[in-house]
Amino acid sequence: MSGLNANPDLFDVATERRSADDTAREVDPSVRDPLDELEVFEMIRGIKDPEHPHTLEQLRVVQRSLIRVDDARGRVYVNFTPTIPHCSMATLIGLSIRVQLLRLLPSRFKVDVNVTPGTHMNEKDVNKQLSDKERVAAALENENLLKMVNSCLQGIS
Amino acid sequence: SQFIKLLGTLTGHAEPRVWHLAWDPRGDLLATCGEDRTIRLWALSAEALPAPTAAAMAAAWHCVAVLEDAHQRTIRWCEWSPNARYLATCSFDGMASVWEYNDGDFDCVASLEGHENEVKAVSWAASGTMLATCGRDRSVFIWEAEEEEYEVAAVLHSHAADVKAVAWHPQQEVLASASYDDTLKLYAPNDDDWRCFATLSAHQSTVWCLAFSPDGRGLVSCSDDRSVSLWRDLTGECGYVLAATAADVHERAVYAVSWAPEASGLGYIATASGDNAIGLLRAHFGSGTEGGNGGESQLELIGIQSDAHAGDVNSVSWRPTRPQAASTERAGWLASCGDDGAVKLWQAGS
Repeated sequence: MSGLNANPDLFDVATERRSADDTAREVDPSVRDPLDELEVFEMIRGIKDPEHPHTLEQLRVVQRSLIRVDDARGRVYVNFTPTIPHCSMATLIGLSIRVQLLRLLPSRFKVDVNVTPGTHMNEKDVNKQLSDKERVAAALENENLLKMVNSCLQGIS
Repeated sequence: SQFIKLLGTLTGHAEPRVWHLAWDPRGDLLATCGEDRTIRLWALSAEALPAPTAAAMAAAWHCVAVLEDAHQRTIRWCEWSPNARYLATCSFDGMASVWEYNDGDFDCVASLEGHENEVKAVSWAASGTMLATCGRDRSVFIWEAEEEEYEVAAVLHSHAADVKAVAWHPQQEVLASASYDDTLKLYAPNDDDWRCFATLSAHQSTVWCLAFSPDGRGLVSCSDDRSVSLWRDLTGECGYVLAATAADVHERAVYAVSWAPEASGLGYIATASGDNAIGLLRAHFGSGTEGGNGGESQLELIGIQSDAHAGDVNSVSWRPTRPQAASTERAGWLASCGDDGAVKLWQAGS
């Protein structure tokens, strides 16, 4: 058991787009536009998987339906689904999602990134690590780890 | 809510996150540290004395020193020695440092090397001759000081994961630690060595911080599980048992606890949380007897100050109060710091 998935399934990417009305509201500066799930999904769909030349969306690691936003309380909840239950990259994938949202979301949002329940052998450990802000902060001061995260965030070229 | 009142906000740290703060034992100097790899010292302007009102007093607090080039990475924790002469700091760079404070100047007098990676907390023993550090390498180091030379007295590997915080008993030679493994541990000297003599389990997730009551009969801990637990020494020999738990105190992880000094007469416990709030609790000790469960002890929630910071609150600390302090404006002062880069001063109680 290597913890690597040699032949992952690929899925069609979402074709969902905003309606004309929605788009108009998005660009109207006089309207307070609450953050929604689609916006969060747009921020993370293009993240590259650490071990495949595919995006997290293509691998269905992230899905719009697994994102929940509570704009009023400033909360964002993202579940991600490793391609295999013993995926050794789960923590790195979660960290990449977390860092991307830390960089792109206004600071009033608190982000919780968790493994989709029942989809990873070490679900509890991975979730605990990802929610530990001190470990995350220390990890991002580690140059090698930061390089790996940044390479995922650059997406597919 | 009215139970704590904002006195003033101190800004100056360059990077957003201020991780920790510590009052010197006289309550005259406040040290803060964080992601910007500096330590800042804050004090009251001399010309502002005698202080007119609490609000004017807070406005007169300003940064009097910045210690740079101390550490290569985030400075996670800082703590004053009991005689106020030394400031200990520790960093994700794996080092702890001791600074001597002399007439407004700080000199780094010792670098403590031993941890394999991130050092997360540091604490001085009441005697001032011993120092404890802890870190991601799961270990707790006890350092013994002799003429500013620090020797390793013990390396304790009792925890199964990161050790988040350490705190010394205020009177006895006993150390307590809190960990990512969800437990607290207690250590005491044993012949020439140190040993772990108790493990306290009650929290469901990482224990972020712990604090002894000023008389040492109580110990309080806080956790990622959003609860605060009160432990009570039923034997007078550090036989701590769980006396009470306040569940769901905050909406998110509780990162820090601080027990008000005895002289303040408040008996309050302050908490800092990832929900941007500061909480205030009071410990009530019941008539617990040895062998019992701590009697009818309680942790009463006095109040929650929402939006105390515009981000996680990482640390909170009561200002030391001298018993002879005549002025009431010093009693019940609280300092907090957070992910918003701000350091705030508060007044608690009426």
